[in-house]
Amino acid sequence: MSRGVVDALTRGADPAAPLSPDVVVRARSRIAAARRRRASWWAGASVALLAAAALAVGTWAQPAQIPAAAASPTPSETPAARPSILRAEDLAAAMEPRARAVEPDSVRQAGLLCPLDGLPSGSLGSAVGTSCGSVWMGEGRLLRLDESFTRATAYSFGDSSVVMVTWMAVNSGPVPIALDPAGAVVSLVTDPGAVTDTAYQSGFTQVASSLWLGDQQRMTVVTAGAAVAGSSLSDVWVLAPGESASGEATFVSHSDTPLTQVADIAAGRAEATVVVQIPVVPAASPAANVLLVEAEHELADVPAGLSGDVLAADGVPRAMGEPVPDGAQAAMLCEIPEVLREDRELAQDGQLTSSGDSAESVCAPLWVPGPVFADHEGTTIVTDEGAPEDTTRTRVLWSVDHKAHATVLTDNWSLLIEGVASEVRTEGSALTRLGDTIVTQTSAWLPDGRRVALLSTQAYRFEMEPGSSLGMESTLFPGMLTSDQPVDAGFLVRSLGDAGVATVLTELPLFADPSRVLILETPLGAPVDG
Amino acid sequence: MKAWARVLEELSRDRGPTLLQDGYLLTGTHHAAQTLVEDALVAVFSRQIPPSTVNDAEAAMSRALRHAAVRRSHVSDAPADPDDPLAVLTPRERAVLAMRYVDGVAVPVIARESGLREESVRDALISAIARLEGSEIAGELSVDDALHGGSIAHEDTSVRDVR
Repeated sequence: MSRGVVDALTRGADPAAPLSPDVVVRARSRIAAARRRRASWWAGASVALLAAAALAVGTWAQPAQIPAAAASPTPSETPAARPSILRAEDLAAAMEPRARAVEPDSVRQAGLLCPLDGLPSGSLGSAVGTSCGSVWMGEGRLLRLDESFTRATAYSFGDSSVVMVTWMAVNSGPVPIALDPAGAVVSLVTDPGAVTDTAYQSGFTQVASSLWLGDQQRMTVVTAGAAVAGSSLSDVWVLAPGESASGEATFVSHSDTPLTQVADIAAGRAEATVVVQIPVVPAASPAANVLLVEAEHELADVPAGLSGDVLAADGVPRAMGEPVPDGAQAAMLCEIPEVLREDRELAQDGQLTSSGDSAESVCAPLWVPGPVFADHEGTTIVTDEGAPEDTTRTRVLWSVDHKAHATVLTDNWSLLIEGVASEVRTEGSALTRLGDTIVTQTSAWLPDGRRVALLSTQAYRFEMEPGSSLGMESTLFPGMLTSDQPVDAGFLVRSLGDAGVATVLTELPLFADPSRVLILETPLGAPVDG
Repeated sequence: MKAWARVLEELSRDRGPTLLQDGYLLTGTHHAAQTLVEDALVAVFSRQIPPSTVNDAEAAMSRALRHAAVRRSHVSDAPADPDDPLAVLTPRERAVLAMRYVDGVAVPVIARESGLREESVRDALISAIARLEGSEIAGELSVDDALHGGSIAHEDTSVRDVR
């Protein structure tokens, strides 16, 4: 009966058509970037770099491996035509060896020259720890880490220590430079001038006492993908003078894989220096070497952040209708539904943007030490007037103030509107997502004293600093539902200030137990005139 | 070479044409199929624990392709084939129709494989049939058959004889 339908669906299909090599190359590059960003999972194994060091020393004697490299020991005395965009070949034309603890006569750009010979064949897209020749290159400094933006926060809980690094690299030269963001390596070191032979590497991140493997060799991580021509990379940064690029990296030490430097930095026993190494995109393909620009910044301090783990550990049970105790913040501890975990991890790594799957989780209500967040000045309701019936929407404006003494790492913010907050949820009732707001006609309290949360695969991880405020506009789109339950958005809006309550929900990751999440609840005051 | 990269390479080499054909059936254009396969590869191999064998990877790709196909926002940059009656469908409608009639599976299986709610699958099938009204294949389609027919078992494989 449906033969014609199948024919129409299969018309034009070619069972022998091969997958384009470009698809595989792009996929590898994107996967490598995704896995690099999954920096909270540490292999914990030392990287054996000494063998690779010998290779780099040998290759350093022949730096002309980079196409078009003139191997000039000093910058050219005859000004050449300035390229419109700096690429690897331009910089390789004016390199000289860089030795540990020896400053150049004039300010120059630090870099690394990494031979690709000797890396496992076909390693395109994978991260490989290696040793590279240390070089000065270009004229003047090309890349620096912004001192006011580049920072780190330490979160400690039991045997676990986490250092979150946020960095910003600025093109401080006079010419745009083409960089490969997928190959950017972020390192955390405690003694940058020392020599070491051990590092902990995970994807494109490293932890070590120093990156120096000898007086002229430094460690880094390369991917063969960084050696292909810029035109075939899926994503290339071209930073104009003064422009910047930024990123984040998470360094985790716990009992299974203790990382001395991370634990020492978190405990204040060691100073932290952030080193960022970024491949410069070559013009020609294939290249025999990868050239990386390198910039570092010694952090004045690494303040302790407030971890969701610590708050959860100090939580005490909370009952429905209980007044807020002094020094407390309402919260709930929730199991992340199995169906969401994988996509949620990808979202935390910035790799999943299209999925908005949600699932309910039954949570344990808690009081945790606080207040962490507080309502700024209630809600403001704004309803679009004059819009057609099916596009009418209501916006709820709110803001919260960060009241705690330390930076808090958050994963998600949402607004919960409970139509009758003093009643337990009735049978058949469900939490429903209206746009970016979660609503229920009754409440999220269950008859057994627990609370329900609607978790999603979405996650936007960022840190909120003490004294800061966050204002958002939550929209109630009448048509965007996650369940089949009809929702009376008008009733919910009218309920605020009466039996209804709007509450800001803030998800905090738990490093000691990633299968759960702590949700802070910040009730908002009655609506004010909008 | 990292284990995931080795599996990815072997999968792309040995099963690439099959994955591409799967993508074509779900999207209807070769260009969109390539993009879909790329997105599915990224989804599958970016997981914390990527598949360790080609067979595992192929099974994971089958679901990832369907998951991505029903969430595509654009049909394709390529111009629509004027002789293709299915060119009027949205990406989601095309994908669920392919799963229903090429995979031969029922609505609950489509929902499970694509990560959609059954209601969303039913809506897409009904909408697809409505759009195809008056086309050369309209006589072979009925809402009742689309919503209630099909197998409730689905083999986790994307290898099939489409002819």
